[in-house]
Amino acid sequence: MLIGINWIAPQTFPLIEQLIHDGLADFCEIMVDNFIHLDPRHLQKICQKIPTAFHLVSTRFLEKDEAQLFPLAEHIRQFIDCLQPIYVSDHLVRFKDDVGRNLPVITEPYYALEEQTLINKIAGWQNLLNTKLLLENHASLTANGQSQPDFFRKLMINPKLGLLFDFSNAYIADANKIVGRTAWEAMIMETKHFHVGGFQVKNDWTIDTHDAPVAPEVLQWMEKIFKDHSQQDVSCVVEFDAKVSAETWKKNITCIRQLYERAKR
Amino acid sequence: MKLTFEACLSHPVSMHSLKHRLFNGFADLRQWPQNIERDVLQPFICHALDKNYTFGWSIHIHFLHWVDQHPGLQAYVDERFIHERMQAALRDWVLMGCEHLQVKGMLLFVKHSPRTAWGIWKSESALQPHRLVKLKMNSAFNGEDAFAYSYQSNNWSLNLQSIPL
Repeated sequence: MLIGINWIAPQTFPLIEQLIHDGLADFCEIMVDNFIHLDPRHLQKICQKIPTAFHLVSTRFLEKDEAQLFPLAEHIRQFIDCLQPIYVSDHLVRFKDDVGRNLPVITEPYYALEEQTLINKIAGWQNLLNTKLLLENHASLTANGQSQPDFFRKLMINPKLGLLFDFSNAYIADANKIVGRTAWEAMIMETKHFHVGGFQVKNDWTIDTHDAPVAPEVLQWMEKIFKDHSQQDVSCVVEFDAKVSAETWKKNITCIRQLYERAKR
Repeated sequence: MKLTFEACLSHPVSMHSLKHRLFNGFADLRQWPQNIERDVLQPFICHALDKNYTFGWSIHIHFLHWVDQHPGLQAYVDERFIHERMQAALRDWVLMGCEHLQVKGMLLFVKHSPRTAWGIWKSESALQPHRLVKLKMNSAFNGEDAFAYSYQSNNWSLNLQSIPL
């Protein structure tokens, strides 16, 4: 398994470089949104000896038409051409409501009600990016998330799309009593690329925060899943926010490598 | 079924998230009303919905005006509060980089701060953060709130536009 670490802000790069140089991590997953204003050749130079993957969050592709998306896709394609990432991933979320107001929290679309519109939007965005596109499952907070696994199952019929499965997000949706994590298990067996991160519980709600170590329950679930998982070239990004300490990150990376090795014995 | 701000707001996490967004970076939050959610956040959200604000980066500037007009809160409006709101607006704006690919920076004027504008330059290196800058003006700015995009690094444009809703 390749272990990835996420790069979201300039200040964590020295640590990322160190963890990869020391052999603890294998690649860096760049949150492209935060560097999209830069020349991709500059990023290529910085990441010369570091394999990369791409993570997109705020493309808002569900809310834009093709004319609006074309220049953004063209720009991202330049980054893809320059850095040749292991994968390109995005999120299936709404930032704005139907009248254009920014939502208090990013929210899942109505998968069941908008199914065909969403499928067309996703296919259109993938087509513009001209690369296989992985979509991450959301850490559901609302009833919209109940049909998330069913929707992803239908989406995965398209070979140009894939799932970027976030173990902690599925755990969060389960903890929030939206949808049980077992609903994903058949799909996980077909999945190669994973995420995991920490969360917090506030006022009875479990929230994806990336500011805490990965929970023991999530680690146990991962180990159980990997025992039956037979995909090759698997990766898992251990996600933290920019305030992460080196020790916490190292400890979590080591833990996930060990659980994967135990599961494969 | 429509996806609306109001429906989303009914979720407890939404209020927590809005509170964090509006009040994060307040230097003196402890001096504000103890029940800030009930006494400040909720009435402001009602006002913002009534005015059809879009809750984009400009929400921090609309919040500044609302506090300034509020009889029970206007005493909190001092230079620090004004500058913090301006900086929060600029930080929110720069986070949405996919929305303004070609823009290098943004300059912000508010009528509460007639002699000081604030701007932000997007970083020129992946190893450097974005840069907030304070601009002292020779003559007082006496127009309405405004912002300007710069398409060249370190060269402010004065092509002023109105603050969005």
